[in-house]
Amino acid sequence: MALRLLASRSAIRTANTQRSFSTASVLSSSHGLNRLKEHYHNIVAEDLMILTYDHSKVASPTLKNADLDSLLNNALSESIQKPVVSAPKVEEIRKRKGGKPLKPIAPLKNGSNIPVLDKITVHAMVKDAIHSKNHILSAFMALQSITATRPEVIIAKTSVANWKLREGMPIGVKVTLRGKEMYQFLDKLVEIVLPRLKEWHGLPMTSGDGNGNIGIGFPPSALALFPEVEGSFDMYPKMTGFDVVFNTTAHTNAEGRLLLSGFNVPFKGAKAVKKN
Amino acid sequence: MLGKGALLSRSFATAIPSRAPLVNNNFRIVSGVVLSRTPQITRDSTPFEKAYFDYSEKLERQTAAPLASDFYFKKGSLAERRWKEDEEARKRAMADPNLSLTDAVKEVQSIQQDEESVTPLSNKFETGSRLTEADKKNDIKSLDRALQRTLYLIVKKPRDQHSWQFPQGAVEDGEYLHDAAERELAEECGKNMDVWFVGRQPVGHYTYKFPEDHVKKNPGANGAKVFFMKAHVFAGQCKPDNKEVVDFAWVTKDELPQYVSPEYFDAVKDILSDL
Repeated sequence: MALRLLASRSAIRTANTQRSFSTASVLSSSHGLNRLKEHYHNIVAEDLMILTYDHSKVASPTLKNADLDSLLNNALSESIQKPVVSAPKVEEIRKRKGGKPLKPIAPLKNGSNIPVLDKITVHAMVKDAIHSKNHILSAFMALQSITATRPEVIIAKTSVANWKLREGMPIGVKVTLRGKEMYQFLDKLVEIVLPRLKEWHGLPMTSGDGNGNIGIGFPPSALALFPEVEGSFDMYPKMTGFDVVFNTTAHTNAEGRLLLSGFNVPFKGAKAVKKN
Repeated sequence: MLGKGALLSRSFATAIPSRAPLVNNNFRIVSGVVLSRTPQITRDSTPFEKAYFDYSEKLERQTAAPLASDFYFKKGSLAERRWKEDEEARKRAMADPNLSLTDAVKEVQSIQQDEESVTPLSNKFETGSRLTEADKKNDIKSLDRALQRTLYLIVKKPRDQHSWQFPQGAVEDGEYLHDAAERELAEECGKNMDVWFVGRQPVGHYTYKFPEDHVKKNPGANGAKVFFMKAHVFAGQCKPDNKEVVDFAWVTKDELPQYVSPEYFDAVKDILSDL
């Protein structure tokens, strides 16, 4: 519906009632298709499903609400077979050492919850912005150039006396990428930037936040490796370091790393197993 | 259970006599390999996809903030002149409902590149053909064919019926499925392929009965259960051993029914990629 509304509006603007596209056969090309997105849906997703398959945690294909149904079935069968002596509360069972926040329970495996890249966050904290707000601008333009998305300015939530940072000061910039822009940025990062990084052999095999999200920090020199910045390097008064966080729908680090390695993000430490 | 024998055989490096094939409930356990070459280029977009992309691209341009050209280009530079030419083309495309932004810019840039070839500033960039020599010759043995599609390796056994199938072989007693798959692939198709097995779990299975005269001659099993292991090939080429396997082909899912029986295709069609 929204699409139709927009279509009618653009038709008025161009003062032309003719349809703006033809459905005639086109020349063979991948015009308009996203390379990495296609790669994910055609190759990576299927391989991830096989690689992360676990016989003990598989949802029945016939159940619509697999997780709920299996939980219900378990609860019912238990209550019928043996009377529960003293059911411990859920909060009591699910507790983490040191009072850390609980991790989400991984759902049962099925074809609809294969790990997928949800969003990429590019974030830069500009420490010089404490002295002069103008220093933010360089990082702002740089992030806008490399991601093709307008960044948002991060405002300090709390004061830090040691840094002379006060609440409400602009301190950094951030871009959240999803969909088409996300895959385009990932493509650029993997094909152009990562191979040109000096003395960097890949992400460590221990990377990940425990829930399948993976972050990389980049030095200021890495910003100049992006083709958009490289072309107008002189216009940026200062290069800033930045970090890139890959948010995935995976539930474990191993699954998150598998997904990223499917996009050719290098991981170091995986030694080739020699076989005779 | 299966693993113990495999571990033992590894720890003794000396040659061991070949073990008996694994038989379970009168069915021989067989490991098959679905070896695929993944698509090498992005597929062709459909006319609808192209039209949708062209339309959304124009919509995006209408709502986009104007580019700060004095930030990105030096005044009077070649890059600025190029960008202005591209911009003119884009404006033309916006007014013309039948012209897409991408195509309009591509056209202008190809003219710019031709000008450049007189005074070469950079290496000229040329797009390769999406159809290869192997496509034109219909060389089914080449890995360079059907770049947009997934290719699967099928091999021909020296017999009249059911001769074409995926590489497969009997699992030996005390051997893992994935070890058997790797061994059989190396035996039948040579070691000249860089192969990666996707996990150690089968992706599908196929059960069939042996012909009766075959069972009379070789008692012990009435049929076979084939478990398919998925693998990708990255480099190299299949080299049939001319004993177990006499011929091979790299085919797409659509071409597979021309080679294998309908029952076999029914069993494997869901584990193959449509692309």
